[in-house]
Amino acid sequence: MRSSLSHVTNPLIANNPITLQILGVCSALAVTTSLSTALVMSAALTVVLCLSSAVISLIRRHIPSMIRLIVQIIIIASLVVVIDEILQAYAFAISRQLSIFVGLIVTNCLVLGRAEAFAMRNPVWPSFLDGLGNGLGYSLVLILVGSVRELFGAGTLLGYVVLRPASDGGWFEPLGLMQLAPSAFFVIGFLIWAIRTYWTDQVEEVERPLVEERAR
Amino acid sequence: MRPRFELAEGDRVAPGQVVFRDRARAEIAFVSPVAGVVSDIAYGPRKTLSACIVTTDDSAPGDAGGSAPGDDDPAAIRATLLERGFWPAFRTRPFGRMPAPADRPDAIFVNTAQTGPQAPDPRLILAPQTEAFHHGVTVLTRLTEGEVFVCQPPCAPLGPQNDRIRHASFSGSRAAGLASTHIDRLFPIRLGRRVWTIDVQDVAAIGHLFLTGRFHADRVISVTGPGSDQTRLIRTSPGAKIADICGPLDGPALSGDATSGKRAAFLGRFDTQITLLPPAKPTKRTWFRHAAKATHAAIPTAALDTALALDILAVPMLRALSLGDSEMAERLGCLALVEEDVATLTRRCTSGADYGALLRGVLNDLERDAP
Amino acid sequence: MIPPRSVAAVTLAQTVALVPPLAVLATTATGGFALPLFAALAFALGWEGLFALMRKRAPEAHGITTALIVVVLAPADLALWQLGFAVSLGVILGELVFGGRGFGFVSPATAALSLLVISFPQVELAQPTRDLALATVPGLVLLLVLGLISWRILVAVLVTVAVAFALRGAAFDPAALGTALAFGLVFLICDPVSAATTNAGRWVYGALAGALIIVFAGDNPITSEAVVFAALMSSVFAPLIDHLVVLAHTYQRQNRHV
Repeated sequence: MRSSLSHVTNPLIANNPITLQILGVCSALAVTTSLSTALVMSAALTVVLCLSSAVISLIRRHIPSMIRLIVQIIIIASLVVVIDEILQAYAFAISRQLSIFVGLIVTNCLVLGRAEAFAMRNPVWPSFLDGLGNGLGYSLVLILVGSVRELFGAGTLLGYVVLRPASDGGWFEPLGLMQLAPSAFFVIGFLIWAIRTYWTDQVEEVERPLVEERAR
Repeated sequence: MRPRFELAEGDRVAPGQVVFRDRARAEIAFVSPVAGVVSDIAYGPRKTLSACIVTTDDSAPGDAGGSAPGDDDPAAIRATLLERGFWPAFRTRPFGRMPAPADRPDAIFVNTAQTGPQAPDPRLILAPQTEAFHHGVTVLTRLTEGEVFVCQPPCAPLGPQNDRIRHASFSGSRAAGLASTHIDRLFPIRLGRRVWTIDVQDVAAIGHLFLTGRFHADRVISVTGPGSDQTRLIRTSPGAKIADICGPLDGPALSGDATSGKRAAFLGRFDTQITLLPPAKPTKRTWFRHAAKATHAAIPTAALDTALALDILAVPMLRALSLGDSEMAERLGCLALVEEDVATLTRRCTSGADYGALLRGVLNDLERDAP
Repeated sequence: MIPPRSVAAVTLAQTVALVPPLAVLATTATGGFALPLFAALAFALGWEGLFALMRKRAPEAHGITTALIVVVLAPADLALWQLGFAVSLGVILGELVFGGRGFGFVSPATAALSLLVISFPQVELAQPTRDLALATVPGLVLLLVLGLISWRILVAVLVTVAVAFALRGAAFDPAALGTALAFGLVFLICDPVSAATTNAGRWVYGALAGALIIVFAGDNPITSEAVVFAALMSSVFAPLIDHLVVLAHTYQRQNRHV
């Protein structure tokens, strides 16, 4: 039980897909201007990731190795189409905001990466949990970045005013920077920095360390 | 270098007598420059030689002398130089090391153009031993298929006239006196060449050996610097104790000139200058000072641009050296350099790093990877 | 004159060079002058001290030049928290994440000012006055003599801008041009850490910065914003320029036979 739980908890921070594996950064930049889009995107990706991992794991012994990528992409694409249709039917406004990024879950490195790296060689239940864990790890970062960007970029969270802007009688000047894609880089960068300051085992080995003592 | 001693502590030694040999290349002999007693042998890690001290003793036997060795057969000359302890006088470029016994350079550079402030004037030194110097240069032509370059101050040619001997005059700043500058102007090693360098006084000593058969290791050095009253020329032996040469010292002494000299107790093998510094003010070592020794950045100032004499991009070079990026350093031309060439960079850079040590690290990497 | 041999000496020289412009600002500032100065210094030095503590290094005060430059170019009516935000981001992102002064590749002051303008679209930087430009001259001379800025960059920027004006056939007023450019040119574009580090590269870098100033200014007179963004963009390209110069230089060396 503990080992199957670790499939879920491990990717949250220790092996987070965005901050450690640096996968799926594209969508993390694009859909985090507000918390609501980040939440919907997180949910969509987590669902696709869980289901695709489970399905691919189920038929993994029947997929010829030569065409396994094609099979994986077909499964993922089918799931993405379903999710996209559901969003368009029940959350049309949000689906407009997310524009092509739900469709582009197909090409998200994270989904294909987990399918190839884990689901192809593990049973169904661990694969499902691995998909869930990675989806949640992705979601965690997206929600954090989305919260920061919406809070400081517009002074709101999920549309509710938190910091009243000066134009509306408050003191807060919205940071235009936060609405631009580079700010997501900054926020993710700070996040990675913070994580690696605390969990120092995540720090990558320096290829060429600066010469500190050798040349003194 | 790991030595194999031929004498033990307490043995008497004559000038020019072999004290130890290179264990890996037994042809290379190291001789005592003076008559005396081997008083101390100290080893470093892995049986490398740390120090071998010969205490002078006037009652010790003088040079036994002997007939002048033959100077026609290149192989015999090579054997004589190896056996009589003159091999360590050569340094290779690239890498700045003692050459292998069978090494054949593409050219040999004799550096008489010491332009450093207060360096001994080679004309003055050579005046009494012109014949020996000429003969030494002629002997050098037997070691190489190529030419022997005599780099000298602007004056009448110091060496003999010969179609294998070329004279070139250099004058100007400190850089004009560096062998690297001469090599880069006359016979650049960036084209895959290998050259040797040798100091003028060693050439004269070689000439003396082949003329008379006697060993003559004295060298004239200048003692200068803010800690000395006036610049003096002193006749001494290589490796002599600086305190013995200069008398009691008030402050630290550098073996070498003020820019590239190293603090040392003994005169360096290739140094012809001792720089005395004023007494150091006592400084308190607090944690603050200790912390301040941490790495600083190299701010690219205009002074750095001109710190390397050759046509080498200084700031990219210092970055490559600090990173230990030997590939980039090689492309930028570090093979043309030895420690003394980057001494100015060390002095001018804000980082406080010793680029000589960094260069040596990079050169070691390159030498290890060389075919 | 002895070139500075430590990073602290470089900072000291730059600080001295910034004193006359700051004096001009003190005499002409309409709003409070001391408060923004104090706030900017507090933020810049505070972050530096914090990082020194975190990294167990000796405290340093290089942030002082960042704070002074930002104060000179920040608008007089800027809220203090906005100033603090800009200085903090500039010092952290432009300098401290890389390990301190000299290890990064953008000037922290440039980073602070450009992040200020991007973050708050309604903020307009202070435009230099003639007095400020004149007060820059002593600092310019000092930094030139100490070798902390390159005359090649100065000349390249000025020539590029002048040529662009001439090509456009616009009315060319050297005095106005000098006023608009002087401060940003000396303290942002010519910053030794963010500029190109090879002599050939400095010409290219200066020409690029000059061209970018023209592009960002458009048909309007040159503004501080144009200079700041030109400094930011050209310093981002400076390592590439140096890399290309190194490539060209090594190619040349290998193909030269003596």
